[in-house]
Amino acid sequence: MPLDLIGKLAVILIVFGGPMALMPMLVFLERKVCAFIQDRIGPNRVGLLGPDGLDEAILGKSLLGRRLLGGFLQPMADGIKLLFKEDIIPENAKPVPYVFAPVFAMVPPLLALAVIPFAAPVRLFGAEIPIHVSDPGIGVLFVLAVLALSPFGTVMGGWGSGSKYPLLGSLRAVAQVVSYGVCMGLALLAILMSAGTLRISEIVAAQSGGIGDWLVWSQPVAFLLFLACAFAENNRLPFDMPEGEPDLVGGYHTEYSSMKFSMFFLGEYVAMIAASAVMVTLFLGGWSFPGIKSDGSLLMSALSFAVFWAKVLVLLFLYIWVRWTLPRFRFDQIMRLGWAVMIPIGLINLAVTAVFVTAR
Amino acid sequence: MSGQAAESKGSDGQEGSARHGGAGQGPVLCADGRPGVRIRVNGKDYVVHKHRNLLDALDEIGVTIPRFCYHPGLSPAGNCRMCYVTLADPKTGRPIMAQNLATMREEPKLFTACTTPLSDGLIVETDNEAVRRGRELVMEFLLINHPLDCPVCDKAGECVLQNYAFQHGRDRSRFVEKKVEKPSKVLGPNLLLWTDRCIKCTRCIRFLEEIAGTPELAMINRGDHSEIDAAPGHPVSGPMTCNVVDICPVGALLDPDFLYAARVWMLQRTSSVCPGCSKGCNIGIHHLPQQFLDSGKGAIKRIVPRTNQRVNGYWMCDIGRRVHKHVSDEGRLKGAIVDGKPASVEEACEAAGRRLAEAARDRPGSVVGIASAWMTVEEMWLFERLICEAIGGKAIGILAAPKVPDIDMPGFRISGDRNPNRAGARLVLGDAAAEVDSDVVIAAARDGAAVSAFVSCGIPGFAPPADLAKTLSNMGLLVVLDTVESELSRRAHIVLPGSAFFEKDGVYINERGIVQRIARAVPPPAGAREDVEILQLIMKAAVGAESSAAAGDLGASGAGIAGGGRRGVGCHEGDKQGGAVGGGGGAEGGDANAHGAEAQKDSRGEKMILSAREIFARLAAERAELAGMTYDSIGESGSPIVQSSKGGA
Amino acid sequence: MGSGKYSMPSDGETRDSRWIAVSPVALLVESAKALAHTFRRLVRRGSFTVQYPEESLSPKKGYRGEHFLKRDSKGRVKCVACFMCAAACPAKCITIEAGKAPPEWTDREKYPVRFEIDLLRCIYCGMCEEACPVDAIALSGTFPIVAESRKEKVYDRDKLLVLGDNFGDKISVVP
Repeated sequence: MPLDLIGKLAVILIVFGGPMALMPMLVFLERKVCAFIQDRIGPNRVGLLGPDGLDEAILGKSLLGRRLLGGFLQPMADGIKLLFKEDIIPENAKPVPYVFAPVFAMVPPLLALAVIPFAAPVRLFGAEIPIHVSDPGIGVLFVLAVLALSPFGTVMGGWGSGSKYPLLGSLRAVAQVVSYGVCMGLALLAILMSAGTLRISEIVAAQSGGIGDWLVWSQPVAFLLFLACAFAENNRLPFDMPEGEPDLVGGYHTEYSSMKFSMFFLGEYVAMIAASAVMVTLFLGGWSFPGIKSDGSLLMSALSFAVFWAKVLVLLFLYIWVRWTLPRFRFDQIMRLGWAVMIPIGLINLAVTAVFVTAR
Repeated sequence: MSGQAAESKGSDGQEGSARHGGAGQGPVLCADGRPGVRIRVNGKDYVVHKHRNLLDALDEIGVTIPRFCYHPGLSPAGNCRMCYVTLADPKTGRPIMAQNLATMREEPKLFTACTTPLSDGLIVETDNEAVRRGRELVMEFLLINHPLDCPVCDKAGECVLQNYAFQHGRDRSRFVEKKVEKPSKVLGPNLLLWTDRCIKCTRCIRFLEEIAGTPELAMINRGDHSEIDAAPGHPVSGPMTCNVVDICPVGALLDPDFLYAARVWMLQRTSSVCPGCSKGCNIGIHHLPQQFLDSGKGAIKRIVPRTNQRVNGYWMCDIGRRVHKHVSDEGRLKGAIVDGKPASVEEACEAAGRRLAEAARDRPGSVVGIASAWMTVEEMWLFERLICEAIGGKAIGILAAPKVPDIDMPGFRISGDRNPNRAGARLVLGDAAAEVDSDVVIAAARDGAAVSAFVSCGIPGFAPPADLAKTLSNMGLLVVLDTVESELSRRAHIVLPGSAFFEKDGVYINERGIVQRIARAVPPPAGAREDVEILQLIMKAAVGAESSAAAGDLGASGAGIAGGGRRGVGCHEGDKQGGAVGGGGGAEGGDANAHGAEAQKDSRGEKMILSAREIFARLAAERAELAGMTYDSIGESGSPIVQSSKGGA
Repeated sequence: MGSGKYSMPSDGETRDSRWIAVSPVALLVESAKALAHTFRRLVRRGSFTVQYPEESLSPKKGYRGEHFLKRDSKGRVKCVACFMCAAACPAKCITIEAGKAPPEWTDREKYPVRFEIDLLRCIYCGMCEEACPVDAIALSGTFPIVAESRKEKVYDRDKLLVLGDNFGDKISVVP
């Protein structure tokens, strides 16, 4: 039993620590990808001991090396800078929602990760340790519920700031969450119907036969819908209305500074990771990959872990790529797209799925 | 001709031209009823006054034709050939023709307007092809030997040649030969000559002959080589020399004082009156605006005469041109001094008012006030209020620069009374006070057993006679308001730094009773204040020091001047002042309007200091001689005092 | 559904909003095109960024940097203190004080005792250079315009002359 407990603790550590460790890399990736897309170099000053410092010694003087990894400590510098900034609570702010909003932005996406299996179960010292924190029978519902919670941080922050732009930003967030939450549910329903279960480990297992078994092939429309909805729920471009700089200054986080701001900032990336992990799990076969067998060996488990994160990274790259490609929609366009296009498509997809499932 | 031109123009006046409809019967009259002459200019008929030549007549109707050598204050010479016009026969209406000796063709004959006498029925064209071509050729000739060094020429920007070259000249010269170069000369202590630039208009020669009466300049040599020169060993040194700089149409004659001092387009011009003597010549103060001022040099760059036929014609003397020097004098008082220690102006005024009032209370009649003939009438009026009413002393006499003989020239007179406002002093302080000399002041101070004195000087370079200085330094309390450090200020217990002539607004009255405005061109130096402000501050302090019922009467609100003035002029003022001053003093027992004005003034609070303009409004309401005058009605050309009644305070 | 004839009520909204609503397929296709485009930029080598302190752009012809004053053949300041540049200057950043030239300067009567340009007020328009009748002032191609204090950016006559000496004829000046 204690062994179980230790194993569980280790899994929890990995599940929650992994995304945290991933975040700086993600920030760096975002800045570099953005720079390259725009024919720039991006951060290249904050490396080990400066531009001519250790990183150059390690990476060599090759242009490619410097372009790709020079300045890789930039997120660290950004973080330190943010920490040392003055922490301001505006006079008009409502302190409780204002202070707790960043927490709300960060915690729900982390919770969503709790039901995601990250790797094939491993057998150690005679006990089989599943590499997920929990595997409830209603896993998919849990994911849906928890992901729908994360915009509450945005709403609380906007309302608690006591300022007009954040309030407008949070109003948009509410409208967006309500609109796209419905669509996301419809996409998930289609998955559930074809998988026939709510338990996530079973959904993964159902896809582990090979790449052809991935639900993305049988449910492409649902995948696209879910992807778009995930973008919208995460306030990523082209759906970042709640923080639209041209019209709302900074949107819901206008009044935030220092650590609270950085929590919003990080919360966005955690949400991206969580959404990507969910999509990998539901549509892209989770940790499964041809050649990887769930035989409980440490090697296979580690490989499946790597495969899982590789898939997640691909989706994260997609997030970044889309952000620096597509312009922001207008608010009425977003609403129209959600209600007039995506929800009807989701319903039709559901109906078609139902027909096929019944016929099977 | 002499100065006749300048003085006689005054009676002519420039206004009053009228369109003339057709051939009138009987004597031709101008719009103002004076006899006139009919002329037809460029197809339009006019009736003009009987000027001495066509050029003046054309000026009157606003048809300006270019000229270099002609000056309305001088005799016409007709040597520049720029004022070409063509004439037509009054009988036939055909142009008067002449043969062009180059082409042997008949062309309209060109006449110089300045030498064409004005006669009835003259038909003139000022802007036809022949005239334009004639002027263009004249310009080309004039520019043949002109060095075209406008960038380094001080005249550039106000140069007649430059302007006409642009308006009437060709865009390039056909002259390919070498220009004649002539050396520059120093013609006198106040006159430099750039011989190259001269266009031989001879204005300077005629001026010195006709106006100054000292024919020191002449044209020597011939042709290309002709140039202006003075006789060897006889530099141009008269007191009117610098006028030739003003009338020089090019940059040939220059004033060494203004040489390279500024470009003329940078200068701001303030209209004022010269304080050099009691003649009251109208001047333009040319000074650099604040943005260009950061070196130690003074802001005022030069003083030039303003045309005023009633006072000075077109001219002014060199003494007046240099009178601004003391403004940037190193000896300027730049802070108040109380008992040898520096103090703020407010503190010093407070101390002066309090101590003078105390002295007067302790020994009535022991305080004397000595004004100066350099003060403006506003300051004199305030001064009298301050000494006689607020303090309760005696205002006696004025300080004045000693009289020197008049300088009479054929066309100009420099007054020997070197005090610009003696007439104003007579009007405000009374005949007796204005006439007393410093000796009388000494005697009065002695006889009256005066122990305290308030002296307002403001005369640059004023050196008090030894016995006056001695008498004053024996005083128990000597307060001096002055601009430049002097014998007086060194002996004073309290020194107040006032503003110099160019740093304040005010009114001077000249020897012939013309009321004229002086205007502030530059701010007083840091630490100094306008005199009217200092006097009002002292008045407040003096009134505040009186604990009697009178103080309450004047109002603790501290509108000291209004209070003082009201009390002083007494009963008769209640009737007429309210309306005339308009929102000014207001009578104590007056109507509702006056009360309204009073309330408004009180609400403005403690700090209210009247400006010179407001003070003059009160003064004008009080004195019959100034009845109805305001700063605006005086304007830039002054107005004579009203002669109906005599008398003063 | 796809590119169906889905007609929206015409309430004056612009064409693009209808476009999104009408054709999600078109939206996807166009988005994919855009993604392909950005991906090509992403993997492309090279960038337009100039690594400023290490490398810098060489100013193009016509670039107007800070001013300098020229000397004549005898090494004296060429300027004759005519104030034309100050008069032409729209920013009023040139301060000149004229003085009488030393008597040994036989060809010159006037020269600048003081000549200052406040480069913080200067808008680098080059009007001073255009206005100069003796070709004494010019704008150089100096690229860095930084200074550590305001005072440093007020160039006096001697500094401007030294700048001219340093640049000589090498400077690219406004054609």
